[in-house]
Order: sequence, then structure tokens, then C-alpha cells
Amino acid sequence: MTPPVVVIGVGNPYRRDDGFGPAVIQRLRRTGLAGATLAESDGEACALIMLWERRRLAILVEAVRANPAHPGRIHRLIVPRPTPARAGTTSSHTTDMGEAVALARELDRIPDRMIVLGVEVADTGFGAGLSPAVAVAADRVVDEIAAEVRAHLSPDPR
Amino acid sequence: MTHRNDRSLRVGALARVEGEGAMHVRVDGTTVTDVRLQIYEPPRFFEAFLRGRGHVEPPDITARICGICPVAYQMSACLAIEDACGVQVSEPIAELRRLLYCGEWVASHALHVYMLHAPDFLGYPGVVEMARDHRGAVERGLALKKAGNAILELVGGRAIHPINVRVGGFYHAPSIAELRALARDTLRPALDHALATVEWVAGFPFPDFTVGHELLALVDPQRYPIDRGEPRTSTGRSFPVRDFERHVVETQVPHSTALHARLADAGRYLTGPLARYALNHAVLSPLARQAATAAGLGERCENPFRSIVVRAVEIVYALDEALRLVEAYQPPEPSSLQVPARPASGYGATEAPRGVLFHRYEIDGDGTIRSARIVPPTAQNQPSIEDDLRRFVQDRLQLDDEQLTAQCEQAIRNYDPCISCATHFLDLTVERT
Repeated sequence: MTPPVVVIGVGNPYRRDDGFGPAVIQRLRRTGLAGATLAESDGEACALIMLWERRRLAILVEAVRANPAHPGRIHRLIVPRPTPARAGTTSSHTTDMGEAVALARELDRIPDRMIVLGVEVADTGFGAGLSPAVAVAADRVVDEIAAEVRAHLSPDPR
Repeated sequence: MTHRNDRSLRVGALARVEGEGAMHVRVDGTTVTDVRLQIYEPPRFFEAFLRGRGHVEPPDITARICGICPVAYQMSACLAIEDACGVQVSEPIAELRRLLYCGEWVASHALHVYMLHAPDFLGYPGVVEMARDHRGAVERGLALKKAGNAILELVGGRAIHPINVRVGGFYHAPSIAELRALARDTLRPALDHALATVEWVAGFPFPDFTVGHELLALVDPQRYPIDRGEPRTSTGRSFPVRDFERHVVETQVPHSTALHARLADAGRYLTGPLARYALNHAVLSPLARQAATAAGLGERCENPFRSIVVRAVEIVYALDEALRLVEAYQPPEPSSLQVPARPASGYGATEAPRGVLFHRYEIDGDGTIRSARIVPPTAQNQPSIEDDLRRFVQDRLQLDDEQLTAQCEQAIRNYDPCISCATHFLDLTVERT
């Protein structure tokens, strides 16, 4: 049976802080998270939709760029809400998370609840490993996700 | 509008193609004088990365060239290394490789047909807008993508950059029960979706445009080429894979970080679905051949806009073939062969979804890679794409820049270019002066 919750870490672990999402998933795998599927993704729309369809809760973890940047600052976005206008994409897969959400909405394949946790990054250059502030944020996001999932799966959700 | 005599069309960043590039078209008066596919995605230096690495590493390293066709890179790499080492894998291993490759064809073609190319024909800016009016079709596309991914996950370990492939075979062979469940629950329903796809795309409106390029594809007398075959051209020349570099000459052009390729004795040429179909339609499975005939494909399809129909037929074939392979499956024992190094050069070519993918490695006695050469399909197709655009724009100069630009982008997507692979691509610029 498909677990009711999926946590998806989106990013490229070989581009420093862009690996934030996958790094959070690896931390969650070490600690264990009952009731949830843990997945890593490069952000391709079809794959994202397949991962989150038929779920009650989907949590997406992603690196975000800001200007000016405050590396490690965490943003929490509840979807659905009007999709903000997006800057032009140069993704090598020609789709991004916004397009995945828009397509999923058209196809009624949006989970009951979707949360995007984004962290502002410092370095998206070549190589593995998170910058210090982003690594600290990863630990905080792991705790936040664990609490969110526990609350969601609680028999008496408040 | 076209009151100007001289103009230029520029697309600064092409959408719905794999990777980053641009197109520039210059029109002087009533003549197209210059067409350039400007591939500005930085060179990726994979051939240099491979030098000094071990001979068993190329399948894992080269898989990273592309998130859409990693299996193609793995398969061509394995064939080349095994060729160098004088090892031929057992037929059960070869058949399991072909099954994995079928998964990649289904996933890659479904993504391109439904998510990237179909919106062009139906007049939508993208798949999200198309889904509002064609929800059933998009659902079908997702189901096909899912079926392809399911094969990749079961046989390859995961859908992107599979981890179960090794030189000599597989780390782990799936069980008969796992594959039969996959066939029953996923592949058989997907085959119906694939047949519906052929019928759907065959009804699209296609611009009246034909090309007469020389074609290059692998040919396997027994079956449609995927995981192996001998290179052959549409004018009947064939040559062993090891002679590929004698027949296919790569050159640098200033406007592209991807090398252009030409046949030594015939100039520009085309590889990919149109070439594969023209040279191999006779060995399609009966079901795929029937679907092709019903869709109006003759023995050769010369309208690149109809390549979407050929891709749909190839999805049918890949699923039909996957079901056949599952039915006949016996787990290879062992799942991989030892491939001890020896000082030699080895050559491998397979049919990636976008066309022939050639690898060559030179290794030392201790397995150290001395040199590597990778010739991906999109790089080979660049001169033909530019030639198509030159002729296509020349016949449509009455269109305004917006219409012309949109049609040029659609024409480029006919080739499902994978710029990330080639750079080793797309913005469109049309300059009318």
C-alpha cells in the first residue's frame, strides 16, 4: 500500500547547495520516518507527479536562490495557491516544479496538502557538500518535516 | 510583418528541448543567407574526464551525460569496453540489456511526444495548456512515461542514471516473477496507450515539407536496432562499428560548443527515428508495422514533422518487444561476466532514442583508459537541422516574425535535440536585413 505521505528532495547533489533536497532525504533515511515515502528527484515534472499522486501529503524540499541571499533561511510555501509568475527556465529538462504543479492541477493529481520547504543557498558551483549555513538548515528542516509528518498521521490531528 | 525586406529572427533560449541553445536566422531581402544553431551550453569535457579512469567506470561516468538517455550511454560504453577486452556477454545478459533499453525508449519518446512536441501541432504554448483541452491524452502520456520508468527502475535500479549496469552485465538480475508482474500490471495496459498514441498523432496537421538527407542508422537483420547493429546509410554503404570514425568526420564550428558531424563521402546526414524507420521498418514487430501502416507511414518518412508518428510507432515496438523479452526471460546466470583488461581499443554503437551513439575507448593492460571518444546523435544532426531550417524559412518568408519563429522552434523539436548530450543547445534569432 502506498504510504499517505511523500517527502521529495529535489536537486543535484553534485552542485553544492543545490543538493539541499537530496541531503535532507539522506538525513531522514538515517533517522527513519514512518508512514512516508522518501524520494530524491531531479525535478522532472512527470516524475514529480508520479511521486505525489494519490498522496494525502507531499512535502517538497528544494534549494532556492534569493537576491540578496541569506544562506540557510528557510521558506515554507503551502500549495495550492496562485502560482507566482516565474522567471524563464533554463532547466535541461524544460520543466520545473511550478510547471509540474500546474500540470498536476489540470489533471487533478495534486495531493490534499502540499508543502514546499525551500532554503536559500550560498553556493551552487561544482562539487559535493553543503555550505555550513545550508547544512545547519538541513538539520532544522529534517526536524520540521518529522514534526509535520507526525502531526499529519496523528489519529487526532488538530 | 513582412514589409521589411531584411530581417533577423532570434530565439534567445529555445524551450521544450533538452539543454541550452539558441537559433539565429538571417534573411537578406528574399534570401535566407545564414542559419546557425548556436549551442552555448558549456563543453562538458567527459572524454577528458574518462582519461586515467578504470575500464569498468565508463557506464557510471557516461550515464551522467544525460538524464533522459543514460541507458544509451551505459550500453554503448559497455559494448566498447567489452570489445576492447575481447568479451562477448551471454545472450540472456544481452536480452536483459535490450529490455532495459526498451524502457528508456518508451520513457524518452513519451516525454517528447506528449510533453514537448504535441503542443506545437495542437496550437498550445505547452503541455499545461494542452492538458486543459486534452486531458485524456496527457494522462495517456504520463502512463506511458510511467511504464518506461517502471522498466528502468526494475532492471536498472532507478529511472535516472541507473545503477544496476556494469561492464560485463548486471549487478543483479530481476526475478521472473518481478518481470511478469511488471508485464501484467504495467506493460500490457501501456501497449494499448501506445497504439492510441499512434492513432492520435497520425491525425495531427503536418506542414508540407520534405527532406532528402542521407540517413544513418544501425541495422540488425533480425530485429529493429536498439542495443546493437551495424551502421548503414540510406544509399547502402555499411561499415563495421570500429570504422565509424573513418566514415563520420567531426569538425568544429565557431557558433556551437558541439562538434558537427559529416559522412566522409556524403556530407551532412540524419540519424534518429526517421533513419531507423527507413532502414529497418521491415523488421518491426507485426503489431508495430500494422500501426505504422494504419498511420500512413510508407517505407520511408521524409517529412521530419511526421517524426512524431515514427516515435509513436517506436513506443509500440519498444513495449511489444519488452513484453516478448519478459515472456522469454530466464535470469542470466551469472548476471555478469568478468571483463579483465588488456591493452586494446574497443568500439561500441547503439541506437539512443535520438539516433546512433558511438563510443570508443583505448585502454592499457592494467585497465587505465588512455583515450575516449563519444559521438552523440544530436551533434551528428546539427548540419541537417540547419539545412532544414534554411529551406523551411525560405519557403515561409511571408509569415511574420512571431509565426515564423514559432514554426522554426517546432521544426527544431522535430529532432528532439538533446543539447546537453551534444555539448558537449536553444534561443532563436531571425535577422532580416
